[in-house]
Amino acid sequence: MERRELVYLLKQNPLTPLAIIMFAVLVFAALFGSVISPHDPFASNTADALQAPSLTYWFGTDQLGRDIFSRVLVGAQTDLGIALAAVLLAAAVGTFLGATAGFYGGRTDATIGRFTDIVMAFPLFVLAMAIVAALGNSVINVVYASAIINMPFYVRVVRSEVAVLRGAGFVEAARLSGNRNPRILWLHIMPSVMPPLVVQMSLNMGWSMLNAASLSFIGLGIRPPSPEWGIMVADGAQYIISGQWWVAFFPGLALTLAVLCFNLLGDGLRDIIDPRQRK
Amino acid sequence: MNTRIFSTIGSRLLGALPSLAAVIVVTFVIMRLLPGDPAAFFAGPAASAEAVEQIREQLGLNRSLPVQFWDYLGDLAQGDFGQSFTTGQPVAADLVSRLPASLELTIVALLIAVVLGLPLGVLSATRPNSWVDQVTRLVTTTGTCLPTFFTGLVLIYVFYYLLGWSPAPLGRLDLMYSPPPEVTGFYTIDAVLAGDWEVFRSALAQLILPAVTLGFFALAPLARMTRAGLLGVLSSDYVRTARACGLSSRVVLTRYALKNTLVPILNTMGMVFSYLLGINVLVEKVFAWPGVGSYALEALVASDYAPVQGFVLAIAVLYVLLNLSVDIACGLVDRRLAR
Amino acid sequence: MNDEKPLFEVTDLSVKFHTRLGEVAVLDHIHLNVGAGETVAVVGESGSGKSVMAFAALGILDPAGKVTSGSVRFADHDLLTLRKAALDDLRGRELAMIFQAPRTALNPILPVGRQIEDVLARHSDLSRSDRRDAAVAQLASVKITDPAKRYHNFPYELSGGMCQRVMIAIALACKPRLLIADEPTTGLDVTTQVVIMDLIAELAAANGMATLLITHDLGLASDYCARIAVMHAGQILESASARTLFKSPRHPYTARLFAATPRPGATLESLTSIPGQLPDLRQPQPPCRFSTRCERVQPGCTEPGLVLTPMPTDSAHLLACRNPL
Repeated sequence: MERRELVYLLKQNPLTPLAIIMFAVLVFAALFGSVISPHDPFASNTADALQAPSLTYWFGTDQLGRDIFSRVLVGAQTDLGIALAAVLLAAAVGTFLGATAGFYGGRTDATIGRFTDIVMAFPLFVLAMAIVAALGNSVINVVYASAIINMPFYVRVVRSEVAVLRGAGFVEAARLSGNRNPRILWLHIMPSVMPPLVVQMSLNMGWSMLNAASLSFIGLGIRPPSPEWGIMVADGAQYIISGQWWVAFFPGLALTLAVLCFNLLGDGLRDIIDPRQRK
Repeated sequence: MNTRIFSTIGSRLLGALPSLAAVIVVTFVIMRLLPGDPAAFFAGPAASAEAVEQIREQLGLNRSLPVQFWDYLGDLAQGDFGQSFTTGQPVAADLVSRLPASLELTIVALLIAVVLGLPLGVLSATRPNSWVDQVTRLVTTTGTCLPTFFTGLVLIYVFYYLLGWSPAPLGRLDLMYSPPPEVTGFYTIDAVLAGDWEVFRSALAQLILPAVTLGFFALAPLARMTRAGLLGVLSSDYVRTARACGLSSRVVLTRYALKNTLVPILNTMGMVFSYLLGINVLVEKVFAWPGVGSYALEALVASDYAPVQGFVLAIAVLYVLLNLSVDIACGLVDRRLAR
Repeated sequence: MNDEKPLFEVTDLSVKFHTRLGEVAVLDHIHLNVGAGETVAVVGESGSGKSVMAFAALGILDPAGKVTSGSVRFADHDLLTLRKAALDDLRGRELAMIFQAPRTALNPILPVGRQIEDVLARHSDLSRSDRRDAAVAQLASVKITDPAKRYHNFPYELSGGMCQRVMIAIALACKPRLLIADEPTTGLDVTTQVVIMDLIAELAAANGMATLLITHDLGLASDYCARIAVMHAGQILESASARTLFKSPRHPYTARLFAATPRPGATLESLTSIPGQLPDLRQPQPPCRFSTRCERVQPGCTEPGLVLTPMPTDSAHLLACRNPL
């Protein structure tokens, strides 16, 4: 890409640098949150319960007197971790299924298509709820449930890209020079599928975070006292009507900003990587 | 032409059958996977091993899976979704009594989203980079990243706690009033039918915040898709043709551009409705709204799985029917899709 | 008809496109005119800006494109400064256009007959039922068989050639004085091409309508048009009657174009290609944009002030070249 093209893109989408900064902050909090947090995120101190934001407690304290700023900071790791695990799992399995379906076509394609249709036949959040309920209420099952409901999107993106590329000239050339099918698929076709896949993944991260936090908001997955943004909002919900807004507000804001960051990042990446999609 | 429409509807109905079958099979499998032994649960902690075994036999849990599946289908055919321990009622009856609350909320939310989202999308597509476009961009960007449960809490804090404009976020009606005589199950409509304006006002006041919460979430994808779809259509060859023929801006926008954007908009509406069916669970929890979502949630927390299963099935069936109507509507707008 | 004042006149028209890689000067001070009832062709390689000129004239330029100089006059109207309502009164009634890719140029979800009716509803006082009859008659006039039945068809149910007939029926519904035909036969098979071109020529002659044919096909242009303007990279390089141009092209590019056009009786070996490609218009251009591809280029070609001027021997033969053949 030429430099002036990059300049043009940044001018068109001035929020992308902002998203990059937010992303850096988020990753930093996830990696070092427990080291830099000013208070112990688990230490309750009933004397200081439900304190409004102050210089000591930047985001105030919750009903047990725990420092909300520290908990929000440490919670970044949980929220980011679950979403990342779910997206990676969904992308890995979805790519494999989509590539196989698109490349071999026929009955394989039909079977895999049927599988994605079944997942898509449910409202996705309800399906995630049902899966967590069925597999058991644990963090890893939240990851599995998120991965399952994200998977169809990857299958579809990869399938359609591969199905188009299957007939491309360079694939024919690779075939004529004696490459076998799996080699053609993974070494010759897949590199071209990566850009839309990466875009899809970054757009998917925000949605996965929302999803995981929503599940823990209704009591599935992470359990208290683990600092996780969804649970913290659920904890704070009862104090909203008595005016202690900060208990629910800051974790909710953190979640919103994190999702915003990934959405903006996804849009920016799409502009750079996948110009076909650009409006 | 009418026979064509009917054959379209017929083929779509047939096409929906596999989804329906899949939904039933998956809910059955999920129910089988549920942790714990329903027989032991039924028998209670003090029951002897024989008593548990007897209940297992009664429930048919010792039969082979295909037979159990067959029984399950038989139960479903009779409208038997099992029994809820928490309410002591048949799940089907609970769902029927609570579904109107969820539907009223979802439909009003969708209405809000459509009434605001479509004009926003149209205005921003016809005036790219104007201030309307910037507002739309802001609304769609924040709409997609605000968690609904968080939006709901913020609205409650501002409009109930700070301003005092809204009633307490507790259910569908102020405790002072009793529900209007049931006709549709939608309190607002039933109150109007009964001519009880006080109840109507109370029902509406209770409905506004949760509906706005849900509607704001649904607004973003609708406005975004309308804008993107319309922008695409406005730069199409046939809109250029219409302009080159001197057709008025209104005709170009409605007959040529908007009508061609209708298919993606309808599809997005279907998708948004399905989001809302899921997200309902969250909003119903925040606003103590007595719909099917909060019903399933209470049951889930109490490890009472028959209602959860009934809820998943009911919502999934609703979703299949919804997709069916979206498909049919799209086929009517664009005959190419009806073939 | 007034000889001094042609029906349609493009004067000094420049168009720039704003792209992510900067400004692109797509049209560079174009001059062109079409007299009443005259058939004129604009010929050039794809990407030379031929269609942009037509779009700019009709006010249907992509929003990224801006007219930076010049004017377009049709009859007594300056099309570029006309109010939108007045322009709409002209477009489709006095001044019509047909496009390449007829299938996508028609509204996919409206029966073709209704699309003709829309134009009639805009520009005539016919009643609803009269409009319907007129639409069917219009379909018949472009030699569509069974027009009453075809009236109800959607574009996807018709062949490409059939769609182009419908497009012509729409364009000619109000008997315009000028038809701009933008690559009307591109993408159609060869026999259909001839049929469509014959149809346009026949209807133009019958209605006394002027035609501006935009094409990359010099052969097609010389078969159907009295006068030809040769365009390259947003510049008109030469313009003359088809016969003059064919017999004695003066611009090296025109000669090259003829050499690259298959003709009856010519051998395949005699066909040559034009060296190089259209210049990258994002870069600053020399006064003659063909000079980078031209084998007759000489030092004077880079001097500014090159304009399209009449030949001393033939005032209808215009040329913009410092070292003509």
